[in-house]
Parts: sequence; structure tokens; C-alpha cells
Amino acid sequence: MNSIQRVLAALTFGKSEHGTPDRVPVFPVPLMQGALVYGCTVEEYFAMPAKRIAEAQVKINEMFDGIPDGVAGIPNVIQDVTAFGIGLKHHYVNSTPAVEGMLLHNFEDIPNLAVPDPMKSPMLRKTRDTIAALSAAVGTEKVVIGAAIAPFSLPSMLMGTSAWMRLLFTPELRRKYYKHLMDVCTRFVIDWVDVQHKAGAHVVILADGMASATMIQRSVFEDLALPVIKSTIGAAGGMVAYEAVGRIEPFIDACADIGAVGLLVGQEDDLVECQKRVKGRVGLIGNVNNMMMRRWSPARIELQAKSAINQAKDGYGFILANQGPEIPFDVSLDGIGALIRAVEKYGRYDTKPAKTLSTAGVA
Amino acid sequence: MPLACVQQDTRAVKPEAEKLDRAATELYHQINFLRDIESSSQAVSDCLRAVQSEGLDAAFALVNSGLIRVAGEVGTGCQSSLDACQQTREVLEASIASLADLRKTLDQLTASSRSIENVAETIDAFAQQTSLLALNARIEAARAGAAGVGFAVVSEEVGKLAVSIKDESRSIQCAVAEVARHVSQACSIVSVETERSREQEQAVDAMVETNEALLIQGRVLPDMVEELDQFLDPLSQARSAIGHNQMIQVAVGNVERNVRSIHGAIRRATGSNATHGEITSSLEEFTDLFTHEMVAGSDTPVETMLQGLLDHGIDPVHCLDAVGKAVQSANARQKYKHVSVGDYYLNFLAVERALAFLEPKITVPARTGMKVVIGNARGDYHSLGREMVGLFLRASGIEVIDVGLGAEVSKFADAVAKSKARVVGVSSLLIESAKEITKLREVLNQRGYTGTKIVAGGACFVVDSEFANEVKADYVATAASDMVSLVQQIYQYGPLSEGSNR
Repeated sequence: MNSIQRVLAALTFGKSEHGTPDRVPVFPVPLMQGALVYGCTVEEYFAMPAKRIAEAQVKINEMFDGIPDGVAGIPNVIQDVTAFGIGLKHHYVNSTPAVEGMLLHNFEDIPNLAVPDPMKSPMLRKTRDTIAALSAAVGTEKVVIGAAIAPFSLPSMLMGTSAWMRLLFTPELRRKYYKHLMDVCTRFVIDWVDVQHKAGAHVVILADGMASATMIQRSVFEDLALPVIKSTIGAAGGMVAYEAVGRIEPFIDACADIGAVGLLVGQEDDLVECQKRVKGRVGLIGNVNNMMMRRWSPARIELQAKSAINQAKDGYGFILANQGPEIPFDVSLDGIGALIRAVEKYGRYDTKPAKTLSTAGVA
Repeated sequence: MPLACVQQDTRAVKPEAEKLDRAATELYHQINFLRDIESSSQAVSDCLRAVQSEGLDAAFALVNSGLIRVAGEVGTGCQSSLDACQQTREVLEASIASLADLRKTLDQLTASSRSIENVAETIDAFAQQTSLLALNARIEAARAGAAGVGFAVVSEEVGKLAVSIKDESRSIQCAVAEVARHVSQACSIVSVETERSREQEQAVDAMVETNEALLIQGRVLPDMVEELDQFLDPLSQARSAIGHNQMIQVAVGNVERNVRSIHGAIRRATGSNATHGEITSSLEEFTDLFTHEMVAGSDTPVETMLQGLLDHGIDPVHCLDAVGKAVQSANARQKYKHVSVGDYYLNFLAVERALAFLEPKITVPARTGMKVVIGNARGDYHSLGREMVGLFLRASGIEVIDVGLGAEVSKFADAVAKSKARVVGVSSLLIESAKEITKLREVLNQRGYTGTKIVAGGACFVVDSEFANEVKADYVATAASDMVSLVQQIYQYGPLSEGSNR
């Protein structure tokens, strides 16, 4: 069973043509760690051509004996704003960059906001090429993962979180500007997700930090965020996973039917409770605390991974991963290895063959 | 009574009435102070009740009986285990000694085999020589002709005998070689078994060590339980004391009612309007209502509420103070309900409106003397937390020096130097930006501001509770509201105990 088959088998709760998964799949996201392959800084790594970025990700996968079931082809999600003309700056050589400024300085700027073409951004073009390179290298075996900021969260990057919150919580501002802003962001995200799918991404993760229970109340989620999430995923041409980048547990019942193939669960969320609430309607991905991975020994990380596996393994529908968005650069490779290898040690299933064996073996 | 007399009496009463008015005002302050005591007493009482309702006594009883029993069982178990280990060790030692004896015997057997082999080789050599002799004898018998016929028969038989001896000797040699091979194999097995027994011996030693440690810890447990027991009585006494303290509430209420009544009478006699008590009551009512509205997430008509206070002749400064109290009260209640940032943001918007309404009306701002420098660390551009913290601090009468987004360490330090603020709030969502706090601590120390406390805020400190220690922050504000109480405590009571709130 290759990684693609395993992931499909897991996310369909063993009902795909591939039967049940042989083990819990694992999606670590060691993006910045690509720099270690070349012995350079993270900033230098992501400045490299797409092909070299992809090669490093494949190398990392091999470094862990090919156990990771996915490879990611994006440097970060902040880059999405570059399509709107916002620059990024690396303040630290071994960290993700930050935006150089805001695009929307006043609410009055919103009506003039137009949908940008993702392919006009050199950074996004390179990401597309990275995904294509990964797809060419391992795309028949491994799940190629893309990512984008979800439309409901994109405005916080265009105008700042504070202004976006003010707009959301001020009825008059919301009446005047919300619809146009969401229309523009939704269209852009659909286009950008489409580019990634066409380049070879099997699944694109929509990161929606503003829509988590950490950030907003359930009523705001249901009235404002949820319709946008549904329409975006509904219009996407390929598979989409959804990440609230924070607590999702209080809203997870509402998220079960948004059309995502999987939901990324926050480190504060209770996996057992989340599983109970989604009732087998959608798979869960998560949720080892990525910040604490900096501090934990490999043995402790293995125990945390084991605990997550034990909580969510039964009934399939679970992929082990670090809580998003990525593993910090100063987490040791041994630590990442401990997370990955935990699925081999604790995540094995007794496999049941697929009912239609003639099609099994083909992704 | 003639009017002149009444006027004279009124003039005579007025200074006394003013004195009484001042005394009443002072009494209100003291009543407020008592109210604070009453509130804190109530809070302690709530805590104790919560502890009680969560079954502390039962837990203690369980610990008392259960822990000691478990400790006893662990102790007995450890002792049995130790005995078993000891026996196992003795058996292993005996095995190792037997294996050594066996090895010795096998070595002797090897030596004996070699001797037999040598003997067989000697016999083989004799047989060869005998064979040669028989051949020579046959030759000599042939030379002797008929006289040697008998001798020839004998020599032939001797030759045959020599061949037989040689064959037997070879058989002996083969048998001895076979024995030697088996002995060698036996030696190897003995070596492996000896090694294995030694490893088992080490494992048993480790078990002995663990059991001994457990035994020692098990013996300490009853002492620990006894130490815990010491707290039961004071806890129970505290509960009774709190019960008595609750009488303060009744007493304060009575005193306040009487003071209000006397003060009202004085005010009426001297022709004044709103009493201090009435003002206090209105402000408290506002605080309660505003708190409730914020916690409920209602769209609070805060301007109308404040206008009502102003219409009663209440000073805008006091109104602002009431807003600050409401913010703290609402945030404290929300924090334990794990509400979202959105809930706090609704408070933010309501408080912002209150400040926008009141601040233009304040000519001389109240000065608490508390100052805080706040800002986002270098590379961090997430302004929401900082803005909320800044507003809540301002509403609480704390002066805020905001160094803005992505501020360099030097900018924070300069602001501290200029303002002499005793607290710095550094906000960061990103790991690398948050590490700037370590540099800030160094720079502040270098400039002599060793007593200036750094409060860290931001998602990375919430997700990893130990991160604040790593970057050398003094405190963590896990919600925007935490900062107000932290600053007040640092200024009013000096730094909190080391590591608290981390």
C-alpha cells in the first residue's frame, strides 16, 4: 500500500477501493527543515529555484525512510498576499517572513479592491513550480500537499487583524464592506487553490486562523465564516482539507459537512471529543503540539504521538500530524523522526482487503 | 421665631454640617474599603467552597487511607520483590559457579583427549614399525629357504596384527577427535550461558536498586500524608472564619444605610443635591450593569448609561474609573469561561466608545502614577493584542507608552528610560520575534533597569507555557485583560513572587 492509497483508505474510513489502511498515515510538515539539506538558512532555502526546494523536501522524506505520507510544496501561507502587491520581509534568517505593510489602510479602500491573478506573483509562481516538481518526483506515491489562506482570514493580512475584527464586529462597517471583501478574497482563493491542484497538489489545506473558536464566537462562525468556507470548498476543483489554526472542537460539528476531506485539529482540542462530534463524517488530522516539540525529547514526542494515535486510531479516519501550520525550525530531526516513526510502532491496523481487488493498487 | 434668628442658627449649623459632610465622605471611603475586604473575603470563601465542593475532605481522607495503604502494599511488594531478587541472584551465582566448574571439567576432558590422542599416535607409530619388522622378517625368512617357512608364517601374522593395530589406533584417533569437537562445542555453550547468567545478574541488580528506591519512597509517603494533614485544620478554621467574615457584609450594609440616612438629612438641611452615597451607588450600579452587558456580549448603550451618570452630577473621572472596574470585572469573569478573542473584542469596542465619550469631558485626568511601555517585538505585526491591552490599561487609569509594531529592543528600552515605567509589555505571535525579549532583558539590565518587569503576551506563550522562562520574561499575560491586574499588582504590592503567572 503506497502513501496515496493509505491516506485515501484512512480518510474514507476504509471504504475506498484500497480497503482499510495498513497503518495510521502521517503528515509531518518540516518545511523550513529543507534548509538543513543544503546547510543554509531558511531564507536562503526558500530563495532557491523551485526544483531545489522540492528536492530537499523529497530528501527529507527519504531521510525518514519514506514513512511520511505527504510532501508539502509551499514555503508559508503568508506569501498569498504577494498576489495583492504586498511585500514580504525576512526579519530572521531562520523563520518565516512577515508582511512589509498593509494593503488596505482605510475601510474606504475596500470597494476598490480587485481580484488579483495569483500567477502575477513570482512567489506564487515558484510555489506552483515547486508543487509540480514534487508531483513529478513522488506524485504517484506520496500525497502532494498545497496550502492557501482561507478567504475569511485573508483580510487580516490585507488590513491587519485589528481592522478586520473591527469590520466584523461593527454592523455598519460589515454592511458596507463585508460582501465585496469576501467576494474578492473567495474568488482569489478559489483561483489559487485551482492553480495548486492543476500543478499536481492532491490536497490543498485551507488555513483559516480567524475562524477558529480561539478567535471568534460560534454565532460569528456560523453567520459569517461558515458560508464562505462552504462556498470556497464547494467551488474548488480538487480535494481540500480545512485547518482553523486554533481550537476547532467547539465548531467541529458544523465543520463536518463543509466538503473538506479532512479537518486539522488544534493542539488544545480533544481528539476523542472531536471524533464523537463529527461521527465519522470527516477524517481528522493532528494534533501534536508543534511548539512543545521544540522542548520535548524524542521519547516524549513519541509518547505524545502514541497518545494521539491511541485516541483517534480506531475506526480509521485519522492522520497523525503536528498541529499547524509547520514544525518550528529548532525542533530536532530526531524529534521529527520520533513523531513520524510512531505510526510504524503504534499505528498498525489489521488490514481488510478491498472489495474490488481488480482496481486496488492504483491510486 | 424671627427670620434673623433662623438665619443665625443656619449659619451656626452650616460649618457643623460641612464637618459632618466631610466625615460622611470619609465614612464612604472607609465603607468602600470595607467593601473591598468583603469582596476579597467573598472570593476566598468562594474558593474554599469550590475546594470543598470538589471534595477536598474526601480527597484527603482517600489520600490518608488510600495512600498509606498503597504505600504499605508497595512496601510489602517491594520487599517480596527484593527477596525474590535476592533468591534469583543466589541461584544465578550458583549457576555461574556450576558453569565455571563445568568449564574446568571440560578443559580437563580436553586435556585428557589430547593425551589419548598422543597415545593413539604412539600406538600408530609402533604398529608402523611392527609392520616394517614383519616385512623384514618375511624377507629374511625367504632368504632362509625351507628353514624359514615357519618363520615366514609367523612374520606374516605379525604384519597382519600390525595392520589391525594401526586401524584400531586410527579409530581411536577419530573417536578422540570427535570427543574433542563435542567438548569444544560444550565449552562455547558454557561461555554463552555464563555470559547470559552474568547479564541476568546485572538485570537483577538493577531491579534490586529500583525496588530499594521504591521502598525508601514508600516509607516517605506516610510522612507526606502527615504533612498534608497539617493543612486540614487551618483550612477548616479558615472556613469558619470566612463564615464570620460574611457578617461584615451585613454590618457594612447597615453602616452604609445609616450613614446615607444621616448624610441625606444633612444635605436636605443644607439644601445640597446628590449625596456621596448616592454617587457611589450610581457608579456601582453602572459598573455592575456594564460588566453584565459586556459578559453577555450585548450591544451596550454605554454612552446613554454614562450620560445618566453625568446628569447626576458625577465627575467624568469617577465615571472612567467605573468603566475601568467594569472592564476588569468582565474580563476576570470571561477568562475562566475560556471565551474567544471576539468576546474580548466586543469589550474593547464598548470600552473604546466609553473612553471616546468621557475623555473629552475630562479636564484634569486622574493620575494613578502607573506607567507601562507596550509594543510588538521586532518582526511581529499582529497589532490586535497590543491595541486591546493598551485600551484596557488606559481605561484603568494606567498611562500607556505604545512603541508600536515591529519595535526594536532599543525602542522599548528608550521608552522605559524616558517614562521610568516599571512594566514593559511585549507582544509576539512568532517564535523568533518573541526571542527578542531575552535581548530586551539584557539591554534593560545593562542600562540599570533591573527592576523593570517584562510581561510577555501572544499565541506562542499560550501554546507553550514554558516559553516565557526560555526568553526570560517575568510574567505572561495569556489574555489582554491579564495585563491590567498584573500592572496594578506590580505597582501596588511590588513584584509578585518569582515565577508567578508564568
